[in-house]
Amino acid sequence: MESRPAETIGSLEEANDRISWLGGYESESEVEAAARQIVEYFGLQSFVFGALFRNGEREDYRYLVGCEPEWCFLYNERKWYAIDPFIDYALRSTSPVLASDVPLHTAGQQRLMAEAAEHGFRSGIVVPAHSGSAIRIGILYLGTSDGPERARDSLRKHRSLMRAFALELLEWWDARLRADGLEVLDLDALDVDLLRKAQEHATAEEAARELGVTLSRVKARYERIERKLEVPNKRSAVEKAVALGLIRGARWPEARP
Amino acid sequence: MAGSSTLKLAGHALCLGIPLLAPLGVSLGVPWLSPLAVFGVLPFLSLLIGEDRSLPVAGLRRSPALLAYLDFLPRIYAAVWMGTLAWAAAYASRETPGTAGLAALAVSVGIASALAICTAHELMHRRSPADVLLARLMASACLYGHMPVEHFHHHATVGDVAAGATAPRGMSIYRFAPTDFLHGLGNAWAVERARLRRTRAGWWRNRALQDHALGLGLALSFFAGFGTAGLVVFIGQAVFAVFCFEVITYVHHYGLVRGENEEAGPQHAWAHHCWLTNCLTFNNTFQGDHHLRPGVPYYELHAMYGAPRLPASYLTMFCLALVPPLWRALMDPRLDALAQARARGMAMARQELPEWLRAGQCR
Repeated sequence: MESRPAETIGSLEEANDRISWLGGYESESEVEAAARQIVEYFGLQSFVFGALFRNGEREDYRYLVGCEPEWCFLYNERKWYAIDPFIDYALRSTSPVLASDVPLHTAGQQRLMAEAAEHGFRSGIVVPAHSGSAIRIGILYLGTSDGPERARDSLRKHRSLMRAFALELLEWWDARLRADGLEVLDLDALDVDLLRKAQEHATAEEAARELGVTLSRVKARYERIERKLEVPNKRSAVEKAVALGLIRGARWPEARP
Repeated sequence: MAGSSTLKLAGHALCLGIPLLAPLGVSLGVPWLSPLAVFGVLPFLSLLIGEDRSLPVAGLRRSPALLAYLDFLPRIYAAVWMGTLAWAAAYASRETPGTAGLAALAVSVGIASALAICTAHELMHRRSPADVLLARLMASACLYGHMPVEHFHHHATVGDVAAGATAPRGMSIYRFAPTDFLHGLGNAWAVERARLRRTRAGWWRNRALQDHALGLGLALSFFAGFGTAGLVVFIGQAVFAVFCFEVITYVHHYGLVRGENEEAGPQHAWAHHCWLTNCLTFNNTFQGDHHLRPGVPYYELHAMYGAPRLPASYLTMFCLALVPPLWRALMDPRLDALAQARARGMAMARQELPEWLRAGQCR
């Protein structure tokens, strides 16, 4: 990855470029540094991006942080993710919204907002990001220690760019987790191709002829994939691979059963 | 020389000279220079240089600059070949060289186009979509649009006579070439039809159809741009290139039929690890390894144990295949010897094959 300039962003085109570069960064620190510049362009000071990955009953959160570290520590320690009203909002909605417009229902949520205001999120914006499947969802919190007018003004000016920003961050996590998953499970490119073929409901013979490997090798590979993913059959392997982000969700909802 | 890895890596660039033989021949007043050089001189040069005993590029030898050079060579070949093709059509249109001149041009460019199919073969196995697209464009320009799809089918069915690509013992090249072309077309069509039915995609997503349509479009463009002479050169080079490729397929797999339940292996492709052929064809003689590891780039391939040996280099065998009685006289005794070795359960034990039947190997 070539190094990118770290100067302050001065124009809409530049902001657009910086957002489109996010996918090319390799480390979290690089993405966080670039994201800080973009948030400053929005006229705000803090951000947290949470990526929620659902795998069956299990939910997994990953974060990119551009705010006071104490706030993240407090948030995790008090398990506020369990009552966070913005997660609930992002699960149900796609529109960016002012944090003050999200209704608070419990005393716990009011305490959470009061603490957030003390740590750079006096007012803010919530930007949901949804992927092709319901398995991966992103929530971008943009915050400022100024009053709600600053956040309102920023949202009015940069609404579309904020959506793009959140989606690029979600894609970055998605790609990162896919690569990590392949490495950890010791799967290679042929395994991923075979999982995609299984997702298309290809028989082993069809997969062999389209990927250029012998039938016996395809069968042996499917057995190995099932063993590594700890599933009983190809169907379950595909479902687990989608859940782990190794392959994307099916584009053929009505494919041959 | 044939053991030097550095020379071998530099030698891969020799392939760039093959397309240039066509304009060189015209400028020297020797329009048949390219076939004379390739089928007349190179077999003797191959004999002089000997077999490839260089090391494949692996491990610490993989410096980024070296990999960039090796990765870019097939792309550069594509550019040089396409330029030559356009030049030949423009020359034929401008100079009206007559029937013999047109034939010489078509054959000269056709030789480069046969090598272009070989180059496309290297590119189509890569994971980069741009390289795969380039491979499809190259196959289309040789009117061989179904080749990228069919080739993967071939990998899955190597050694299966019913699936094509393997000529049964006794079949001549003149029967094999048209039969295999049509067989390949049928295979590609069947693969794509199954894929499209499965994914509910429209008929226009059929890659074999797309690539043949592109070939037709290119032919029409040559006709529009360079007139009848340009079209004759375009079609002539394509027919010659496809024929050459079919001959090489014939040479690769003649008579090496895979038994029932037998796993595909190096014993299902003839080999002769000629240094010069390897330089010119992106290590195409390492078929056995390529069949086992289709995704591995050409510079990592090496010779395999168990590959039966051709009596001479590909270029020599190409010429011999055109004379069926001579071909059978040379190859059928080898098939008999292989069958005997197999009967004794030694087909995979290279050391136990007769010396004259063993393919050379890398250091």
